[in-house]
Amino acid sequence: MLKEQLQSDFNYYQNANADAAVIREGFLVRKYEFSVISDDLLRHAGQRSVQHYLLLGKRGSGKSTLLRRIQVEIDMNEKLSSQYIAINLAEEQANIYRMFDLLEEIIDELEYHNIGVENVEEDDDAYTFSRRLFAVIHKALEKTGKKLVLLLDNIDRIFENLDDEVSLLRENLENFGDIKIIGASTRMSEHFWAYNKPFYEFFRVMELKPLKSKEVKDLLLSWADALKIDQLKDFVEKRPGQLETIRLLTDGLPRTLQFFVNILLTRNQENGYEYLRLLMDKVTPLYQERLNNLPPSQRKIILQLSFLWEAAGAKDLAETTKMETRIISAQLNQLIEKGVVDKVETKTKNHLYRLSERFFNLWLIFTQGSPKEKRRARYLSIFLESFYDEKEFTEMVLKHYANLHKKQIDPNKAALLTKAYSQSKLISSWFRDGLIEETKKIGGINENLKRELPLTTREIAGELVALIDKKEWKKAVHLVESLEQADGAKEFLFAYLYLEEGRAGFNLNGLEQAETYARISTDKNFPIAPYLLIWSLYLQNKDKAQVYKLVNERSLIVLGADGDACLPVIKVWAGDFKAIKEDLLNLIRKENAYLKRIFIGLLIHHQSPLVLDLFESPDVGPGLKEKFLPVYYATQLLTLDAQPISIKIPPEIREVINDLLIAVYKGRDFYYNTNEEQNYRMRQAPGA
Amino acid sequence: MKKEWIHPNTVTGDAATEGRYLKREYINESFWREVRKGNHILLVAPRRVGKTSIMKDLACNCPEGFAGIYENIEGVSCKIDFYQRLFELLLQSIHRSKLKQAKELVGRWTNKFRIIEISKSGIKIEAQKIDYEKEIRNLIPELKEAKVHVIIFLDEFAEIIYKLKKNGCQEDAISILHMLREMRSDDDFKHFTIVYAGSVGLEFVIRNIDRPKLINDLHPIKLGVLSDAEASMLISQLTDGASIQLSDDIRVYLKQKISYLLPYYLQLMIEAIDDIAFETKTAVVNEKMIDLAFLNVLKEKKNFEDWLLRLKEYHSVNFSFINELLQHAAHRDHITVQEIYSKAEKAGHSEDYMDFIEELVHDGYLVEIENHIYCFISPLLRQYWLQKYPIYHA
Repeated sequence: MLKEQLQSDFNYYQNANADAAVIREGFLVRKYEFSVISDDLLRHAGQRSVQHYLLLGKRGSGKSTLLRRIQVEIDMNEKLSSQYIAINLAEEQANIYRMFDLLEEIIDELEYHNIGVENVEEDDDAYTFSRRLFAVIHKALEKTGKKLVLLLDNIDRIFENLDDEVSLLRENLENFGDIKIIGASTRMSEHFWAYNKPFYEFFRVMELKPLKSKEVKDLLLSWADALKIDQLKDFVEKRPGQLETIRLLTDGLPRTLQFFVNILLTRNQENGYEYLRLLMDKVTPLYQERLNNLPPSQRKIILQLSFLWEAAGAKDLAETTKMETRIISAQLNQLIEKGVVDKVETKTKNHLYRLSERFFNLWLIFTQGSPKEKRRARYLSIFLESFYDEKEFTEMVLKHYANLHKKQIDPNKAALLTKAYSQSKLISSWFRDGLIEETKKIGGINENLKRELPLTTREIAGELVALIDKKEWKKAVHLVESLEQADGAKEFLFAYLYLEEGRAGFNLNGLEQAETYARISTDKNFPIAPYLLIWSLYLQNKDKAQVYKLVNERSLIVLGADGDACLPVIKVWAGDFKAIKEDLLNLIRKENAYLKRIFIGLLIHHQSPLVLDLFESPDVGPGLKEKFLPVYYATQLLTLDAQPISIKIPPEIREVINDLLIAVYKGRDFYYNTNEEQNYRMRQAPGA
Repeated sequence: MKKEWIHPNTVTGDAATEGRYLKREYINESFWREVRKGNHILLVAPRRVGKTSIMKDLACNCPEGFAGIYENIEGVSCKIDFYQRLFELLLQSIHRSKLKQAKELVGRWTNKFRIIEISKSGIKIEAQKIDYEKEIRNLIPELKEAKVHVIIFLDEFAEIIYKLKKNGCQEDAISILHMLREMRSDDDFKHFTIVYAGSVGLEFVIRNIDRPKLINDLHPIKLGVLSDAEASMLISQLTDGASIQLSDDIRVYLKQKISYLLPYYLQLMIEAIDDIAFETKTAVVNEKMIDLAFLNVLKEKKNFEDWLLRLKEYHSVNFSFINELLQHAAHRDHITVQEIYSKAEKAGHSEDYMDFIEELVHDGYLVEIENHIYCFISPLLRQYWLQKYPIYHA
């Protein structure tokens, strides 16, 4: 019987309504709580002091099942049934608004148990009527010689409705000692902790915490044993990582855990997306109800929180929800109380918040997110990455690539999986680009999904250059952040972005940031990253020794003519003069676009004889003079006796040469800590 | 066969009775001594100190010639209701007496009002429209002849007065207090005693309705913490037969950890220790388990934040002064009235400083451990304050 129950989707929501024998046999967690309560029931039946309990836990944590288990124990255990009557007001509680509603429900149940209860004359005064009802209940119980165990699910809601009438309840509990309440609640409402409330610290609170790894393992193994399902046993024993992932995603909640196990047993799990989709379908009624139970403002907050995925502060949420921070904070507190949101304490006053159940978070993105949010959020990638180990993951990606290549895959599914894989840290950026490009070649992808497809790394790089040109730095940062790869491409682009921002003077720490990112990217062996590292160090005039080493260790001639242009300057700065003239001649012959910048660089580093030599060379000199006449004069002025040369300079280019010389002196001041610019300007001043 | 785990014999929330209650004979003795002197008693203690347990024990173990009954009356909603309850309680308690004269008295009154039934669950009266206040005045003088001294333990009495005032029935509240005061001073009512108790301090409530004289004849009995030896006895009582085992050294450590030895906190700690021991299947308790249990209890009491917010909200102007007192009590274990006064001088509260202390006592923050020495009633609340304000410069 149990097997049937478990296999028919584990009787998802109805556990509390299941057959008594099934409940007893299938009760495998929350054993401590059950043990304490049943032990108390057995040992203290005849005593006047009554321990009341409050079971506190999230939805799906097993509260209703535990209540039902206690009811079954009382009903089936002879010793207990001779001393107690268990009444479980699970469904009826929706009708309870006043104390007399609760008492009338109890009377109905007592009569259902064949316990005669005297009729009560109604009274217009609710208080008098309730007192009369209490009196007949006590009398009926006295006759049976038994105590009533009142199992109240969602007791917080009942107490909220009863308001001041709870005093009457407490009075009766204290005066008669014939009713024991075992309540369950998702939150610790103020009825239970406020000093001025009748039930202040009245209940023994038992928190049904997320199941621990060992408990999850034991639970699944018990299922496997009881049901003789070797597949499940295999899974538990051979895939501890996946098991832990399931536990984390489900926040250790038994109900959500069942969904995973069920699918695990009944479907093959080769295709991660199918697996996730099936899970989502299964949990939808549960999560939809959870969502619907929240007021609109809280719904808005948790949706935005889910789209952010990572823990976020009240300020971040205020920005995305366009609500006031103080309102957000108040709502967040209520959500914490409801167990939907967890607070992550920080060292400052500004704490962070995240959804407690990560799978609920995935579901929200999956079902409630717009294409934009879905595109940004890595829901499927996160699921796949955490659910499969690296080897399995790589195999799945390769298989997907092959399917794309052979066009043997449904277009929409292809797009979704490509998005998921391309947002994973476990693949390289070049492979990511390959996946996206292959997917685009398949026709028939739905428009929304098409929009969800990420940009290729190359497209991102192109957009980045355009944004840098427009000096849209913030947008540029967001753009680079959209890359997830861990192969150094992201850091490379960040290094490039900060280098440009630093050079443009928009970010004082830009060069330092560029260096940091370039180092990370270099460490990850991203092919062209050392170039940016060298460049960022040069621009900061630091670590010449390391640059020297990098230049000599690596083959850097990979960028093509333009990219390598400044290398001779950096080599000179670092003290590496190997084949310097040959390199320069090579660049000159290839008509490198940055020759002017190179010459100025060389002049900064006191290489005017070398530059002059090039200008005087019979081979390339005439061409250079024609193209860079002001540079030639500037070089002459820096090399030879200035007086006769300056007389020869045509007046129309004097100003240009002056600017060139100032740039050189400025450079020297920075690199060699001199005061040449100022001295030069003094020399040029009228009357000097 | 696997040995079954036996949990300790704790009870938190409801009053402890029988095997779960630690009787302190000196409280009972001093109580009966005062009652015999003709005093009406006011039991003074904040919530969770164990007033109800003591009252229930006293009501169940009355000396010969006394008939006691305990009743929580917090559900009472109006003056008439109060008198009806008092009348019923009187009859119920006389009904419990085995004395012949008492039985006869009950017999006369059942006939008079066509009372069909007197039982544990109440009294069934057929007669309509009874003036309960008048009948109480008629019934009590007859106790002398019946040779029975009725003693009624009214739990949450202060709550009723507070509720009447809150609902705009202050005059009814005053009238009840007048009537009770009158009876206390009348010789015809000497065979009748009421013990007043409540979570809300009665003096505080009475001061709110500006009638302090109406209760200044009550004899206060203060309920304090357990002594070290009593705490040890309670630990033994709670763990007797249980799976967890606490050595003498560990008991000392546990008591030190709790410091303010209220039965409630001892029980909370024992439950938390049992939880840890059950999970790890370690029956022999060690210091680490006690430390962890303390942290778990603290963690589970998630609502301490509210205790702080409440002060901020209600005392926005005086919050820093109140908080200074609490921080001192948290860091220095207690605060003396001299220390309070010196802080009050600085804060400009040298006239009304004791009002703040009384409010903190009344609201369950502090307790007076000795004459004019106050400490946190809850070691957990104190710990919360220490966490919230780790640095304190006196």
